[in-house]
Amino acid sequence: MKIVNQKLDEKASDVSSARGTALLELRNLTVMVCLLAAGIFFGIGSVVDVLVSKISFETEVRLFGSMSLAIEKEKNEDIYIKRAETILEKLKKNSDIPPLNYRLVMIDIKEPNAFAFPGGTIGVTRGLMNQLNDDTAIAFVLGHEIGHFHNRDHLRGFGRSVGMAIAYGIIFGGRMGDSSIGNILNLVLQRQYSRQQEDKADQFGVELVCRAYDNVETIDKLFKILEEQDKMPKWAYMFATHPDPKSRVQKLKQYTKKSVTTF
Amino acid sequence: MEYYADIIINFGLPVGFIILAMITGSILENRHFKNIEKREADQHRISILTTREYPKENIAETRMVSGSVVVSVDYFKRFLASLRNIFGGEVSSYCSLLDRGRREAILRMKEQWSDADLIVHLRVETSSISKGNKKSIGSTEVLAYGTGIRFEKQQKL
Ligand SMILES: [Zn+2]
Repeated sequence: MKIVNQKLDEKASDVSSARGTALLELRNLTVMVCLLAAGIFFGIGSVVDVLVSKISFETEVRLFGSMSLAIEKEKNEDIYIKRAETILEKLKKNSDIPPLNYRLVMIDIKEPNAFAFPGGTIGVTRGLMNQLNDDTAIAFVLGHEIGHFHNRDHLRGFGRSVGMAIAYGIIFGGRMGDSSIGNILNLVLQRQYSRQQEDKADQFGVELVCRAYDNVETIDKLFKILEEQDKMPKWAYMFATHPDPKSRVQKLKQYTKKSVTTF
Repeated sequence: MEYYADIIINFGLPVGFIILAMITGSILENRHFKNIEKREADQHRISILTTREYPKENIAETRMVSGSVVVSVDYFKRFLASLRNIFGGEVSSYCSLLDRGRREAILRMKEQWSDADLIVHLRVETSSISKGNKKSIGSTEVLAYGTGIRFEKQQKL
C-alpha cells in the first residue's frame, strides 16, 4: 500500500471556496433587498390606492369613527385643544369638508407636527400648539390636515403602514425579531405622504382658511415659525413625513396669490 | 434633538454594529486562515486516510486521536445569513466559517499526537449548539477523529 501525501495549494484546500466572498455577498443581497423592498412598496401602494378609492367617507366613519389612539391622553381639557376646537367648528361650516367624525387630540411630543388619523381624528403635538399663538395659523394647520382627509391621504398612509407591517411580519417573521433591517425598512417606509400630497393639502388648507377668515397675512407668520424651528439638514427630510418648509413656503406663496385673486 | 436621537438609535447603531462586526470579523477570519495554513504546512508530514484499510506492517503504536472546535458566527455573518433566509441560496457567509471549523478540528487532531505517521478512518462531525432557539448564540461544533498510527523507524510511507 503506497500512500502519497499530496500537498494541496491554497485554492484546493479552500473546500467551500467561500473565503473572502463576504463583500460580494453583501452587495448581491443589498441589491436583492432593495428590489424586494421596492416591489413590496409599490405593490402595497397600488393595492391600497384601489382599496381607498372603494371606501366612502361614510364607510370610513363606520370603520374608524370610534377608534381610540394609544397616544391619546385621558382627558382633553386642555386650553389649547379648547381653542383649536372653536377654530375647527368655524372651518367645519365650509361645505367642501368631508363628512367625518372630527375630533381633536393632543399628542405629548415636543416637535411641532400634526397628524390625520382615519375616521376624522386630528392629532396636534404639544410643540405645535405651544408655537402657534395665532388663530389663523392654527386654522391653517387644521385645514391642511382636513386637506389630507379630503384627498384620502390619511387612509393611504394608514393602509400602507398596515400593509408594511404585514409584509414585514411575513418576511422577517420571528426570525429577525427586533434586529436591524426591520427598523431601517420601517423608518423609511413610514414616510406616509408624498410632496405632491402635502402640496395639495396645503392648497386645500389655504383655501379653507381664506374662506373662513378672509385674510392670509398670518399664514406667512406660520411659515416663518416653521422655517425658524426646522433646523434639520436637507437630507433628514428623506425620513421626515412633511416636506422641506422652505420650498413649501415658496409654493404656497405663489398659490396664495393665485387663490386670493380668484376669491 | 429627539429626532436625531431616533435616527441614530434606529439606523446608526445597527449599521455601526454591522460595519464593526464586518471589519473585526474579516480581520479575525483572515488571521485564522493564515494561522491554519501555517499549521497545515507544519503538520503536513502526517498523512490522513478516510478508509478502514491501512498498512499493517511495522506498526509501533496506535492511538485514537481527536480534535474539536466550537466556532461562533459574528453579527455581520448572521446579518448576511438572515438576508439569505429571505431569498434562499447558498449561505456563503457560513461556508467559510464551517470551513475554518473543519480545518481547525483536523489540525487539532493532528496536533494531539504529532508523533503519528498516519491517521486512518478519519471522521468529521458537525453539530449545532443552539438548535432553534433564536435568542441563543449561534455556534457550531466540529469534531474530527480517527485512528493514529506510528510506524517503526525503518518503515517509510
Ligand atoms: Zn401634511
